[in-house]
Amino acid sequence: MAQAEPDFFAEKAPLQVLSVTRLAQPLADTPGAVTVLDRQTLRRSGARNITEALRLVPGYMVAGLNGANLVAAYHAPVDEYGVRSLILVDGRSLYSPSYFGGGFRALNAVPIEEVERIEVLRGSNSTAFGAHALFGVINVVTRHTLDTLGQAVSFTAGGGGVADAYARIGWGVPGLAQRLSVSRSADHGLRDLHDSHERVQLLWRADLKPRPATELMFQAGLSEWDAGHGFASNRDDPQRDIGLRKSHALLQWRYADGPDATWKASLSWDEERLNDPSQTDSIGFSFSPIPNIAGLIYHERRLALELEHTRVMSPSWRWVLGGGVRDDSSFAPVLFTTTERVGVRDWRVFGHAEWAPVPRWLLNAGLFAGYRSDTGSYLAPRLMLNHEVAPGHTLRAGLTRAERPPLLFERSSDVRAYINRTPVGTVHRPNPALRNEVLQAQELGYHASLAEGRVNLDVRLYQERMGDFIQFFEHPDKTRQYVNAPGFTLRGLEYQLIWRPSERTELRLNQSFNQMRWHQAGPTGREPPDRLSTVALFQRLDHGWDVALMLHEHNGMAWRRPANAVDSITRVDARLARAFDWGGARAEAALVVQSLGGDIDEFVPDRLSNRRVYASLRLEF
Amino acid sequence: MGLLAGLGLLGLGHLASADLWAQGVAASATPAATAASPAPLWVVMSERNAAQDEALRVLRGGAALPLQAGLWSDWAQWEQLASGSALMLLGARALAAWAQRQPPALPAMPWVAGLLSQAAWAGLPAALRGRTHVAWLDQPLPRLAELLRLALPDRARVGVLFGPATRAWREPLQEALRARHWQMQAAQLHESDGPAELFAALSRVLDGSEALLLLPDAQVVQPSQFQNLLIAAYRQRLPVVSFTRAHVRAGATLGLYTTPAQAALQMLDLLRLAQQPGARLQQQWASQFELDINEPVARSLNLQLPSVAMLAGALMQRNSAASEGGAR
Repeated sequence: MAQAEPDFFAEKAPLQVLSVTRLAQPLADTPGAVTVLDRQTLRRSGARNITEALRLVPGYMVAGLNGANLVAAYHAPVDEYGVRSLILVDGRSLYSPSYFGGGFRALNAVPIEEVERIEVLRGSNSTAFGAHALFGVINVVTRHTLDTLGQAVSFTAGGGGVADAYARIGWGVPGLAQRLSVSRSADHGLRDLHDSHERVQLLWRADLKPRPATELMFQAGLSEWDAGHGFASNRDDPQRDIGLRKSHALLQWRYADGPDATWKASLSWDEERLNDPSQTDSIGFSFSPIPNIAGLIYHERRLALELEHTRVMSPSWRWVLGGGVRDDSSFAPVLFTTTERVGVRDWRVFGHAEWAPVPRWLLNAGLFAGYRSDTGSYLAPRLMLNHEVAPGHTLRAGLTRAERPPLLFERSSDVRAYINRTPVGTVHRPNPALRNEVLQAQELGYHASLAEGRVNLDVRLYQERMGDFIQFFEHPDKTRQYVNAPGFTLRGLEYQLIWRPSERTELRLNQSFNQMRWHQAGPTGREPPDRLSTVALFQRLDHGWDVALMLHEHNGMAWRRPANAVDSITRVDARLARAFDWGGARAEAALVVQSLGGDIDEFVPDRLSNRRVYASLRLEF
Repeated sequence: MGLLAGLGLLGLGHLASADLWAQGVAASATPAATAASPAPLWVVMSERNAAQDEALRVLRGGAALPLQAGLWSDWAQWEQLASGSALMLLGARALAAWAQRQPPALPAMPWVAGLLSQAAWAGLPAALRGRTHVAWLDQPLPRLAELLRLALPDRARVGVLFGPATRAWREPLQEALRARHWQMQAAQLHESDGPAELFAALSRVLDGSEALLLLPDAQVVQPSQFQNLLIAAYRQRLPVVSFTRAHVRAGATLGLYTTPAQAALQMLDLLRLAQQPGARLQQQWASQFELDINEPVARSLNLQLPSVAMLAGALMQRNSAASEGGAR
């Protein structure tokens, strides 16, 4: 008898799997400039973590207080800890409200091997995601468990103490698939600094599909990070080792209520504990009002619940409505001078509509409204109009207003010094009068997709006016405090060109030009480079060889104060890799050289990004 | 007619009564009628569905001979077929039945099979295959490779899953792709493989691929897993190229397929060739085709695809330039 035959002429069409509600917004329709780094690009960049890979995003700079705390930030160094760019990993937002705020440590903890793609929206996206998305969103999508079935291991080792290992196992079927991974990442940080660090973590993910229209995703993870901190020459910030323990869990539910409607709910829980032994010493000096907290800086807990509904009303009109609540709290006697948990609750509702009143015109309108238990309400509206002037050419123009309420740390940090439990001074003062900072942005954009998609260009011309800028301030008595400063106006032009002259070659050219004008008098110290560029070439060769060359450059800038300004720098990274079959396993061996031209002062003098050479081997079977 | 009514055939008002088996049987019992008309063209259908009906309409319109048609399961007197001038078999089931029920002494008339896949064909007895003119529904592999090249000019790597029915296509497809500077990332599925193996293989082939090509193999395109298959590719922002219009409607980016009417026209061409004196056995891949693009999906993948007309025109040119009669 004949074999089972696939149905060439199904009379009953299969369920419309990819209905409009499931489809991603095309780049030409997005209400802003978006850079996408897919899995291939991430791998070919040679980056060991997401932060390094974000060098490929226009306007993003990678810098930090040391090599263990590198931050990829937009408009750096205005936003030194990246608190104004929201980091989302599978919809879970990463930030730390009880300390400097950024999600950079958590971002570095996401193994790059598990990332499907990163979508970076440059420019405020608070309308969609709330206060933390003031400068934009780094949206990380990790790989689905069904896409990582089987086993994989990878090893990376080389100069600068680089020693990474990753192992994962994936199993299951479409109804229930799971992945478990364990990884370790370590290096010696920047040259001559006490910033060696090591991270070890365990991650689990499960995807369930109990019915065709219902999907559930669970994630859980544990990580431990130990890092050198401080400077030999600084008595206030001595050399020591700090440690961060993190755990998280995420539950996401998605239900397709017919082809035109979806429901999505997510519940996430994060717990984070930072230890730093420097707050106590042998002579009885301490920053802690209570004894026996064993170096604890903070023990933070975050809970977030969100529900979202998307509906397609007609081919030209769809909307998303949602709401949620976040509860952040922290036990941090050192930071808040209280033995009580300090917390804040944030209620939010949001809506976004996409309407094409006539063909080739698309209006994106959105509003995000929130209420915080400590600082009250905040609002972020946006209006963006996209017009396809000719096939492949889209212009966009829009207005955004966004607000960022202060973090717990910015508003309430109250750090005091004690000797034998007796208060002897104040280090950090709270500021209950701290207001929300407000950003008003105007944007003109152009997106082009030409030559059958071989040439993609996105240009963003913007003016961002920041008022009530929340800024770190040192009083004459040396106490520190966050205050509202008049802010700044930033004008800029950014473009991203991706050109694939052949199916084997990809060229990327990013440039970001900006002009910063502080509204307050006198030097503020932080001056972003007025030009930031990246040129990257990815070339496939015969027999599985692959070459990547990436050049990053910026002109003069000052990270924190004019005294530590640096001049123009150029950094070249290169990667040579070969994919091959190794006894049935798919393998790739790679050699990466970072900072090919030698050690460079990338952002602060004497914090040298050293030339680093490392090799990696990846096996999947 | 009672039998036909029982089979639900009465609703098919467009079928001339002379086409039905009952009439065929009746005709044999009426010598005057038999003597008056030339030997008929018999058409054996596998089942009653829109595709077979469409093919039958085209056959009736294009056949030079009087046509008598019916379901393979309805008729017990296969021997009578020998009295026809030719036989058309629509679908794998009709051909399989013919293989089982044909008289030991094979009639001298030619028979042409169509509306069946190469996969189903490969499962039939070799003796039958050695005597059957056939037009498969499957697209020639060079055409599939050419479609990828034309539709996705900035890409060069495609993931392909092969099952038991398409095992033999692996080498020729790789060759056709290589000739167009495309690389294939492939995995082989076996009869005993379930969804776990299917998705393990899929995750291997999609890693590093820039498109997914679905071949007509029941082990790969399992109806219960089709949704998951399509979503897996979409999650990785990869366009899916498939072999039916229904898949395109469901979310595949591109579909290249042959309609029942096109298949029937090809069968008529084969019949004409087969009826020529000294005719050679004709076994062909689908000669005509249609293309479909799911525009919203393509747009959402940021793909700028050429228009259907342009793609089809370019493929057609290749079609006429290259002889695709047998070579894969």
